[in-house]
Amino acid sequence: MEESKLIELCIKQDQNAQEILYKKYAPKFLALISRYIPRQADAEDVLVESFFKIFIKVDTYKKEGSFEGWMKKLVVNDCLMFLRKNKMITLGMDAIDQTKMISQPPLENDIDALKRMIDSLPNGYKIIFNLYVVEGFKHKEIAELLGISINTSKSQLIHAKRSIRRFLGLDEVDPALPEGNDDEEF
Amino acid sequence: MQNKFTTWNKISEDLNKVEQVPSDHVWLRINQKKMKRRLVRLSYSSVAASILLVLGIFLLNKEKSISFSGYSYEPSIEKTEADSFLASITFSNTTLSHYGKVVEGNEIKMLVPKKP
Repeated sequence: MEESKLIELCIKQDQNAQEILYKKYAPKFLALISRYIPRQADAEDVLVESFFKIFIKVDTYKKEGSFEGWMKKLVVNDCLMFLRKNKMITLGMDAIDQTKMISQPPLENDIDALKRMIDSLPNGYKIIFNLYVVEGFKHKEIAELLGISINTSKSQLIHAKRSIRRFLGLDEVDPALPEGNDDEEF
Repeated sequence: MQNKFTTWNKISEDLNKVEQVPSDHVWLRINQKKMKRRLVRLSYSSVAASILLVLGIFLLNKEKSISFSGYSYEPSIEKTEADSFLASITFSNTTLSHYGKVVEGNEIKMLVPKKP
């Protein structure tokens, strides 16, 4: 089914269309939520909340940008709301959880190892890394979302990138990659 | 071994490709939540409709005078003092009034004549 038709039917609260939308995006969004909230049960709670919101707010989608992007923003907002509610947003220089760290660089195609490594980062690094690098938010947006300064967002990102580089065995490279150089090699 | 994560964009791309299948009950819980919302909205609508109905009935009956067999009359009771009252019935062509006193209790009672 074409996406515009699917949206139209979802606005009319069509149950079948909602199910199609859910089946298409739920695995993607659960993976997204799990990047912020690793506990499966909590991640699924947030997924329920997010899809419920998507279904009741679908008529507010203004067709500016992709529908997936619009939904993704709602999901990310719900993740942050959950973290805030459970006091899980701590921005600071917490020690990296060595027990969860994998000492060896990930093997080729081992995205799971990389995910586990990102998950072992201090919460602040992880949230900002995910928001900036993975979700593509700008520092200004992150600062607004988290109620922090742009500089805090930037410094947390530098620390996160440095940790990941170290994990990938690329510690010798200057860690402070300037903004906008995301296509650059490490 | 060559590491495949060579740029941040590559990491982002690969992480965005990851999918995780939710448990079967998630869809059920979404539907339960939708149903709950529908029921709440329905109960709010019912309460609002009931209030409107009661209000409508009250407003419609307020102005109406009672009528029977071609006659119409409007009873009224006006309190004049703490323990006395002026009762009157205005028929379509005449008004009967009666000045009385409250004998027992505080409730004002008025007898309506059978043959006005």
